[in-house]
Amino acid sequence: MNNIDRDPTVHIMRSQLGRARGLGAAKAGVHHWWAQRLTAAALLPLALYFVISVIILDHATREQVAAYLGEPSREVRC
Amino acid sequence: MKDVRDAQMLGRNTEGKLVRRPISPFMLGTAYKAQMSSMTSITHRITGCALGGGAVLLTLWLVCAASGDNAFSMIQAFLGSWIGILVLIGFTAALFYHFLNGIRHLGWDAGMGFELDTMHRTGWSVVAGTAVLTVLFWVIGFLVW
Repeated sequence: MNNIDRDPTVHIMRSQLGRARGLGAAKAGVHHWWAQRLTAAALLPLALYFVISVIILDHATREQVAAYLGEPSREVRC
Repeated sequence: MKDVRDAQMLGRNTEGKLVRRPISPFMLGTAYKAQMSSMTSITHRITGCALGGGAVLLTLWLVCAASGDNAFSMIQAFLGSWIGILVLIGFTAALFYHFLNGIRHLGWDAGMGFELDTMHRTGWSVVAGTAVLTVLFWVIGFLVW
């Protein structure tokens, strides 16, 4: 941009429209938005469950940890 | 002119001289003072990334628990050392912050809480809540349990 005052012409043939064409919406925005909100809301109870699990497993032996995590109902955590 | 976007930066000053139009300064640096909105936002992103690292640590711990007593006692020793405790305190603080500020974000997504005073109130609540929950967690972890 040094010689901008001497040469104000923009030497680019391609139009702004031609540059932007094909870069439009991917048509997946709403789905992505909903997926984010849904997983975020789901993480609220799951995060609390995680924190409580960690407190429960404080000072636990490996057998106790394995037994706790091995319960089929806790598959959701892993 | 190297980039076509430079064409949009051209303007004329009051004397009709062709100039490059001024742009606003970069978000980081001394140009802007710290605000509740920007600070809670950047912290939300940083804690989000940190939680990604924490998830890797959690996975490592699970793998160790699954593989045997040797591996498990090793990771327990690391997590029980002062550096491990420090990492875990950071993990819980990041988790509680992201948890609370995430609720704030969900409210905004629903169109609630945009008023400035509300935004400041909820922002300070998140900061205070993070501190309270983190301290509470470690008090329970160290003393009560």
